[in-house]
Amino acid sequence: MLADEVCTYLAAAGLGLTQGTNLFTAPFPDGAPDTGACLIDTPGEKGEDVFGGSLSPEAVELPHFQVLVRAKDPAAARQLAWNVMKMLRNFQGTLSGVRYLRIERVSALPFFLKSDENHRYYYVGNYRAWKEESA
Amino acid sequence: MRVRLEVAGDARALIDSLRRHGVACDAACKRVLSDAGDEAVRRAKPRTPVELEDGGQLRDSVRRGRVTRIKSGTISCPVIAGGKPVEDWVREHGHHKYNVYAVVQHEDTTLRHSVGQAKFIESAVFEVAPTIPDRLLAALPTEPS
Repeated sequence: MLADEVCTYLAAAGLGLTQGTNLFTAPFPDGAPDTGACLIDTPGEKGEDVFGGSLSPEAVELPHFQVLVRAKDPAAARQLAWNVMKMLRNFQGTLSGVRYLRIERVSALPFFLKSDENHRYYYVGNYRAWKEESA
Repeated sequence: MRVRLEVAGDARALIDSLRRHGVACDAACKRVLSDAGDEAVRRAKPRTPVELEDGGQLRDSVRRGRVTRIKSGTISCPVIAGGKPVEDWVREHGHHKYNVYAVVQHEDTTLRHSVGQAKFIESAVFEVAPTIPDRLLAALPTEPS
């Protein structure tokens, strides 16, 4: 699924993120490190039927997802959010065997969302993927 | 790519017709977007979070803004939550900044809500948006006078 595919990509991108340690496919679990990211599927758009060379319809999904980043230092949180964005925006390629025609940023650049009671700063970025259906 | 267009007959009449279509399209577009915006609001309100400490101010603040056309020709219809309608309530209670409140409720997908959900506007708009082209087609006059 998208979350696993994109997380695997981000974990290999040299951003200091390790899946299951400080990179998650669900909201931050209790006890997660202060610095990290989580990727959450959000309501997407209807997919499209496009026609391939054989004229058979090929389904394209348009899922949306959100990358929520946090750190104790607001500048570090912002930097990590921007680094994630730089890796994701305009991405084209194959992730875990699934073709991604394009990943694009939806609306705003990553922006400050909130700080929590543990003084961690959260930045959020929203993205949309044009991709082949996952297995 | 070059496109060559040959017009037989009265070119002036064609240009006038295209101009009339332009004006008619703007009006139709504004009407359709206004209706679509209203529908998005109707869909968004039931999924807007209502937290224990408030009385549904955020939900009640979900509204359609004015449909506008900017110079470039883009016509847009905002669907909004928060802002002025909840400002007074938040000032009185003091524990939320009114504008932050709306964006956190909308964008923080990790929050748990007893009523409502994150992305309450976005999800409604995505449901309504695919219907707009057909609505627009139906709203356009065949030959505006």
